Amino acid sequence: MSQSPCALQIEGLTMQFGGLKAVSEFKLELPAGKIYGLIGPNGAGKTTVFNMLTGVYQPTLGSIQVWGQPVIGLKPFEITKKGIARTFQNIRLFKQLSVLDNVMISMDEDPSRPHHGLLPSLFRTRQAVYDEERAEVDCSELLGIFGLDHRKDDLASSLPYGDQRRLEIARAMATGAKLLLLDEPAAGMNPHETEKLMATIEKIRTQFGMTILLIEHDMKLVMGICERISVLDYGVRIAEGTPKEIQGNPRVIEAYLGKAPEQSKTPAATSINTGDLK
Amino acid sequence: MTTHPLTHPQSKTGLQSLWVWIAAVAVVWIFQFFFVGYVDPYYFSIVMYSGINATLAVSLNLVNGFTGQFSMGHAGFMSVGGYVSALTTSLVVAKYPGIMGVDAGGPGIEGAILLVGALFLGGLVASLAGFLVGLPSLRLKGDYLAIVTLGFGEIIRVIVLNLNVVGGARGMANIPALTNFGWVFSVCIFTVFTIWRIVNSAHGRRFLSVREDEIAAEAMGVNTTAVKVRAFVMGAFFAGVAGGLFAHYLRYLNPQTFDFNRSFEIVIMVVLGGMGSITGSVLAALLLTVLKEALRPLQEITRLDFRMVIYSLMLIILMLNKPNGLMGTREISDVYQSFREKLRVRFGANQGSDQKGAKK
Ligand SMILES: Nc1ncnc2c1ncn2[C@@H]1O[C@H](COP(=O)(O)OP(=O)(O)OP(=O)(O)O)[C@@H](O)[C@H]1O
Ligand SMILES: [Mg+2]
Repeated sequence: MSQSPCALQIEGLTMQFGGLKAVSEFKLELPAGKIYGLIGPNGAGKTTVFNMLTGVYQPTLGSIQVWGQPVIGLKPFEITKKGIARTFQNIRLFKQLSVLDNVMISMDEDPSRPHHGLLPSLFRTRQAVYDEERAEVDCSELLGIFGLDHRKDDLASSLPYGDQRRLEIARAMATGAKLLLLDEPAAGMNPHETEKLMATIEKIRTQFGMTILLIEHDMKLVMGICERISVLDYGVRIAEGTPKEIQGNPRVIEAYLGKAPEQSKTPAATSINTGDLK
Repeated sequence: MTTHPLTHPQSKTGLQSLWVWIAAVAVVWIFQFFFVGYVDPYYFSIVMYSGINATLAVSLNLVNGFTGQFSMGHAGFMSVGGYVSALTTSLVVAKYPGIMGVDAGGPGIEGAILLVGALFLGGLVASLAGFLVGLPSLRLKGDYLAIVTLGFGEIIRVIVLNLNVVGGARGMANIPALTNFGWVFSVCIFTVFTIWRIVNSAHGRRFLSVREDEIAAEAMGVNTTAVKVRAFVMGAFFAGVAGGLFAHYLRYLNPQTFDFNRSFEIVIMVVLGGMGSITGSVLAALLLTVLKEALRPLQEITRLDFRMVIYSLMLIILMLNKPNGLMGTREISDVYQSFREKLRVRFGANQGSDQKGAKK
């Protein structure tokens, strides 16, 4: 392995839905330990990129390497075991299960943790019970990072919206993956919650060495924590660079502002508008 | 990560955790040996059917309640297990009539071994059928899956109708009387034990994750395909065993025994008890079996099958008032806990406020 292994290498990634090219020739190199952003107007193809990375969609063309291993053609659950996990734009928690169970389900699948067959679970062998209890302790600890440990016995659906988004991140981390794909983690959060979330994302990066690719419309968050940003517009990557470069890029500004006026009501457009463009 | 405070498991392990179940089985056999003879045969038959139905309901709950795959073909699996095991024992007994212990006053240890072997075989073949039916569940959801599984039950019925080796439409008679109270309830306890333990382990959480959100489960690394097939295979196994017990108790099978009404009955038990509640399924199975018998005189007087009308009415009333069934996804132990909690809050106000104060 090289000194700084690439968490994610994407080349020529294309997704065709009938006549619509939702993503064309997308490319990205995400080194381990970095936080990158993926932005673009509504319908630009951001979520589609995530869906291809996680095996939900089969790309029409292109190659994806996760931690140096090709993943195209694998099923979603197999890709997750290669060390990549995601959250969903429209929250998809296990609603009628407890907060703890939500995280436990992921941790059970972590390939680096011990697994037990049916019989040891049936007869509660010492080792099986021990491992189960240890997983519970680890899950509580993980929930603690997100400030959710005091609610671990509550139903996931009973959490406030912001906490549900945070639980989704915790659940993705519990898979043992070191590469996280976050699809609009701050959507629907108030500024205070967003700030808290930014701090948490920074924390999991530094404390657990997570690599993160995030989609976000909240420009304050994106510009604040992403080291580099890719911009998609109509499925095409129109820019890539540091937050500064992106803010000053005329094509990006055009993509967000140079459209029909009603586009300016999207949070993205307004925040770029108010944020310094220089 | 930090070191863990755990050095030894906090919960009971191995044999330590098993004794309750072993004791339950022991009680069942004590009943079998010392008390069964004194029970009125009519009431005894209700008890036996309750045990068999509880086994069926709990095993269907694994598929419908815990994994969220709406199957309506449980009678089909029961049929497969029933016929396979009945055929096995009939053939063996025909060859070695001594097994039935006519001189000794009943089947002895050989009979027991034969029954257990035949039940196991019936369960295995049923689970093979479960595997085949589980395959469409990978592509179908909700109503579509229900229809396919319903169709499966009918296919099995039609196949049996045309199988001369098991009597075809005439039915299969003179099945050796090998089932007794002890076996029915040992199997019932074993089924509850197995499903209880599985549901409360990593394996069970996988089932639940598929029910809750298949896409999210898959994204978290759960092999949802394998989980669904496994649920069908396991559910079918226990249904097959229950079918075997049924065959060796009633001693007569015909294809009509396992028509879709039978499947409905089991589905109703699961829905009534609460999808995802094991004890709910057991309760509902007892309730409906008793109710069915209680309604029998009514049916004889009116010469109409009022049972289904009353079933349906009950379901409608229940679903209007308690859409999640009697127990929802809770177990009796949870209900007991919250009941105690309520009592404590009501009558032990001092204690309650103390605790609240301590928490804050
Ligand atoms: N399964 C699908 N079949 C057909 N078209 C699809 C499918 N999934 C996405 N699309 C289309 O692809 C385009 C990109 O959608 P995508 O969800 O990736 O956008 P996005 O950048 O995530 O937008 P948003 O910011 O609104 O979440 C849209 O035009 C969408 O309608
Ligand atoms: Mg999206």
